[in-house]
Amino acid sequence: MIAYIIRRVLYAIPILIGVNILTFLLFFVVNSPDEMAYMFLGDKNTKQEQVEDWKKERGYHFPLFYNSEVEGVKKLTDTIFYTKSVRLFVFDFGRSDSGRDIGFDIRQRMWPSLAITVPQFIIGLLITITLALLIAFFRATYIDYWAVVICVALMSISSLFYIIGGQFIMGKILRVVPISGFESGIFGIKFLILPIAIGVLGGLGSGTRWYRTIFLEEINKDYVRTARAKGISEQMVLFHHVLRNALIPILTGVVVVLPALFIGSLITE
Amino acid sequence: MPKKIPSSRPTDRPKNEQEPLLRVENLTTIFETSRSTMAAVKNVSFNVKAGETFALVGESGSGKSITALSVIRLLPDAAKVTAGTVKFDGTDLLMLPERDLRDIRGSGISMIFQEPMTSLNPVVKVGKQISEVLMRHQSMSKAQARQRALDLLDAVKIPKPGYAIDTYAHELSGGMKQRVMIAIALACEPKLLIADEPTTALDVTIQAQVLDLINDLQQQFKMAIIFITHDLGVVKQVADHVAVMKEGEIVEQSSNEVFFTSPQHPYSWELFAALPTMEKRGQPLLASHGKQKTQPVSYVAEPNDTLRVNDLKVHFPIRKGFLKRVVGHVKAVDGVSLEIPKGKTIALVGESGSGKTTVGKGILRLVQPTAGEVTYLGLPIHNLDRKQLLGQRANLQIIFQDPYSSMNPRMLVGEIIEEGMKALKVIDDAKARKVRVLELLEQVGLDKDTHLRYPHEFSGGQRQRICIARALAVNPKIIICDEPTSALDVSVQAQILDLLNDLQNQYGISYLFITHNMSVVAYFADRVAVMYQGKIVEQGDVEQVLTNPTHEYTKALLSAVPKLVPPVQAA
Amino acid sequence: MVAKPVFLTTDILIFGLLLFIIAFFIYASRKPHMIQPWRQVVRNKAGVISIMVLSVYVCIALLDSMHFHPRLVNQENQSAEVRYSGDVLSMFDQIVSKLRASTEKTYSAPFAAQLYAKETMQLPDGTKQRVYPRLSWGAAHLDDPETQKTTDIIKLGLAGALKAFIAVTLCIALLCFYLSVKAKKSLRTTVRFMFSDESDVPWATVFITFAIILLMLFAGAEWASKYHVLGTDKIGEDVLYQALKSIRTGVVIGALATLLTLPLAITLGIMAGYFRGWVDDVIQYIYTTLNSIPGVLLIAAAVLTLHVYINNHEEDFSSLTQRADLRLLFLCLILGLTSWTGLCRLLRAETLKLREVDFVQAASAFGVGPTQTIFRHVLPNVMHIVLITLVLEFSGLVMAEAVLSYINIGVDPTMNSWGNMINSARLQMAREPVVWWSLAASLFFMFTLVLFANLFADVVRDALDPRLVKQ
Repeated sequence: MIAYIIRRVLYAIPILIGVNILTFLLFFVVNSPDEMAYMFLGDKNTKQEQVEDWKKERGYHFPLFYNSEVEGVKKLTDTIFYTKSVRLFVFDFGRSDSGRDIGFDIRQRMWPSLAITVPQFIIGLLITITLALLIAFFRATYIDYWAVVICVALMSISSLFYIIGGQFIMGKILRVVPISGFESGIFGIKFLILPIAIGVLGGLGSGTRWYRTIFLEEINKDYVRTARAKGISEQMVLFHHVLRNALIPILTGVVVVLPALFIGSLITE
Repeated sequence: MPKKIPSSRPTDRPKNEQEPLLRVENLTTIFETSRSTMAAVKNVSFNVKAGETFALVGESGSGKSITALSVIRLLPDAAKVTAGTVKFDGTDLLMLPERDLRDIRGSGISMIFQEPMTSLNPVVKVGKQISEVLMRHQSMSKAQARQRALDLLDAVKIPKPGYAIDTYAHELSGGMKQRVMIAIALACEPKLLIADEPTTALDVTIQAQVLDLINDLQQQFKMAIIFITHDLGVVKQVADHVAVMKEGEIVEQSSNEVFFTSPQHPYSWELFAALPTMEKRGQPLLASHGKQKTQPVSYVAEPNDTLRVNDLKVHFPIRKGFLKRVVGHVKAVDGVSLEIPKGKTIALVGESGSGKTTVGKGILRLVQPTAGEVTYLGLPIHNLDRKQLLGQRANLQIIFQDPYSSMNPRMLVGEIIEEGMKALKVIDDAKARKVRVLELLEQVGLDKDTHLRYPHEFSGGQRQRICIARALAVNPKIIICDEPTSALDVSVQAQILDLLNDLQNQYGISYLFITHNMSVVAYFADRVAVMYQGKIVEQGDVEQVLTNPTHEYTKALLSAVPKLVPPVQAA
Repeated sequence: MVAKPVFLTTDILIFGLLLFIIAFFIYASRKPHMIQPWRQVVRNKAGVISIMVLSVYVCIALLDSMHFHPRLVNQENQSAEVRYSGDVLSMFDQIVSKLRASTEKTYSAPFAAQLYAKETMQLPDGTKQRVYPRLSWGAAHLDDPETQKTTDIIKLGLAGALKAFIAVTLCIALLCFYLSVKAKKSLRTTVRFMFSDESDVPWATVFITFAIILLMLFAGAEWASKYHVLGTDKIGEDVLYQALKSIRTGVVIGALATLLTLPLAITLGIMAGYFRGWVDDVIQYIYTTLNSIPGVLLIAAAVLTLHVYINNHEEDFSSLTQRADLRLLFLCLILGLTSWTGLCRLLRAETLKLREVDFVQAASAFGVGPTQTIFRHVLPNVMHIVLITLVLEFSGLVMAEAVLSYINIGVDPTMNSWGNMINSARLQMAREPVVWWSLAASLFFMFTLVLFANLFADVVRDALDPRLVKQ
């Protein structure tokens, strides 16, 4: 098990490097510092010196990958790639173009972001699993059929509807939650209700439907028949036998989704 | 319509006996889809008396499992009982509300299933799965139930019950899992046990142990058993009464002695006739084909004609640790030597996991051998490069076990048969190939228009014929038959064996016949090699090995096979 | 020439796709295993309904994909050389030209006769008063909207319903007649068969859906000829027109995004699964890396890059439309790139399984090489996964477009899209009184498309997935 974890961690390193290089390419190579400077400084008549100054100020004056003008290790370190990308590995994010400390920004925003995503995620998971189990209990009835139709309809509603609708109701009619912003302390909790509720509602349709499929797949397996042959009631079969087994694929799916949590909430905010 | 034969009661029992434990009358179960209904069980009636074993025999799709599932109403969603009564101990199970029926399931009637691998809950400890049923029906406390579960595990002869009770199902072997299933079924000492092909998925030595166990426990608990199986040998060994099912109906019911000496129904005779035995060697199993038996062609044996396998080894690396270092090898095949002379059939016998399939694939180099030599026609097959190997592909062909996965479902049968001829350039001309395809189809006993249809339109036996045609297309000299009949019913198996026999006589093809079925070996093979854990433990002429085994494993294997001498029909 | 055709890149792609689909069905109709699942789709009620609704959307999108420069009418000199306008219009614009042309000054509510905001107006008697001015086009035919409007709306609606009824009856009659002639049976038995359980297609459902669609089309057309059915937006453009124009954007993104990266996903997925070893390692590395970058970030970066590119190469684009089209295409590519990894992984797993299956082993026993094996044995047996993915991803992509446009990294702001509509509607929601129709219209049109796409995807998956077929 430990060997497995170590291997996974080691496996992550080349991937991080790849991610790094790729983002670097996206932001700097396709979009050269000169062009950025022109964009930033406005019109096309900007003098070359101004551009150079702008670049120097932000450390963009080095060559991209290889600096032939200096000696030794500096050949590699005095490059944009080194200064901007490699240092990310030690969580030194540097400063953004507008001069803010990016590392500080991330730290500051991470907590509100987590305060929304984590409860939203847990509450959402509990609700969807419960609903899916209920639907699976009534499988092959009209309740099942219409529950699935409702799920598909819920899935088909754009998340923008929930976001705008939520902001509208709470912000404008009830006047309880500010549309954006974050405060700590007890008041903070109040501000979280809206995004959490929206997040839960938005994921309800697809989650419930997906878990229902997993439950139904499990229900058709042989061990469920064994359990029924023991004379165990249908509720016990579902909660004791099926739920336990279905949790394996459900949790596997959930682990994959975890990193996306942090990004997804950005839009909600 | 086969006429129904009234159940013949054994004469040695007193006439005025009490009501049977289970009385099934006119049971009809149908499968309903949105577009069609199909009767799986038609008007079936039978009685099971307390303490006796009642065997339901039939080929796949005969409705035997559905009959049993109808009795305790565990049918799949699409099926439902439309008529009949099932009286168990005086109560009609079909009329009982679900809640009351649950009190009977697991305590009055319990069930064991075919697949021990999937029938146990993978994430619940074995002990809990046993105590669950005790707590449900006998309102035991947790501790009491655990103690009883330990006793039960001991009763089903699981070594170290104290350890086994806290394991998960995947930690146990197939035979052990089936023992756990039996422990669950017997926990509340039911009056009736329904065993649905309980030993079909097990190796023959394990099967013998499980059958013994069931027999012991039946004596001990005095319960009745409905034993569902397709294996007449097993029936002979366990059953008091036999009912033969065909297409959803019971065509014959009789006592064990009557059934195995003078069966009444022609279908029962057909079943017996299709059984391969040592006595039937050299004769076709099914006489009804109308074809003349082909005489063996005579040929002069040349020394090069024999395929020689010398010390073949196939090892698969086991990787462990975080760098996935190779820490050892699974020695799937560990030094196998064989000879396959021209026109002969060599049987390779062994239980699951003994490495017999890997030997076949290693010879064909579908799996790269680790070491050893394979020589044929003076060529080192094991050592040929891609191009040279291509030249030998036509000589060596293979037929697989599973007739469903061995053909590409997206290709027409004609294309499937043609593929080899095209790839190996046996016949270059497209028209000539077409002609040859039709010829081959006729040879394996299929209609000519078969080539324009897709594999899924055919039954298992027909598919296996197509596979044989595909292999024949490139005029092979040796065919490796990897359990070609294990997935088939006995009557279909007989057809395929007859076909293989004909082809051998006609073309002098040699077979390496990989199987676990001893009676097929006895009927079909010239020589036999017994494989155990990657090694051949004994080989020799069939008659000598089967009647006079020298190795302990061979002896154990042979004694585990249920003995069955088919009745001889008076002319 | 009446007009000079313009072929935008997305137009060509979308018609190419259409031709491909038609060709596929012609080819498949001869192969029972290929056509069988589609029969099952048509048999399913949800399947037919969604096919019919989706085809309405697709038809509008196709009409809106036939672009041209309209010919300028030169009154003075008939013999002068033909000149074309710089504007790019589409067939669909031509059909709804009235909607396009009839703009108001600013906001007006659905079916309104007046603007939504008061304006100071000079009355005929010279006094100035703040009133709701009449619309220049909506309900302009009425003298006194207060009293006449309701009856007029009902009248128009009834007229539309009547036309729809006649059209539906005619179509059904013709179809029944055609089928009876084709089956060489009497009309009576044909009709009875069509509505029985044995019929392959649930005709009753088909006819009801058809009637509802036609009713909406005809009534909508009647109303739209006299009113702004869904109101107007800030600059007075008809919201119905905007919502209808957005259909093309949605359909193009939904259909093309996965399609554009399909070759990549298929090639890499099958290669990884079939060759294993280092090929597998490299391909797995590529898609894991791509997967580790948050999609939003990737899209934002790519779109910003494109921005810069377009700004620096303005001279390369002959028109705004072309520029917007390039942005659309690029967005499709980027969306495809962020989603191909899923399909690639699925194909890799399936290929890994397939290469161990007996029929692939049999092929290698015949010495069939890897290329042939892949094309003959692997590819046809993973195609159902590709199809299912294409259909399943459609609705997600349509919604993704809206989200991206909402945070300003989606399609060109000049292009009609539901995302852009919602984006501008966001500000309208803060107004007092609330302007809700723009948001409602875009959400409704998108919801309908996505809902039926989802239903369709469900049916297609049930029909194509061999695991489900067996049960």
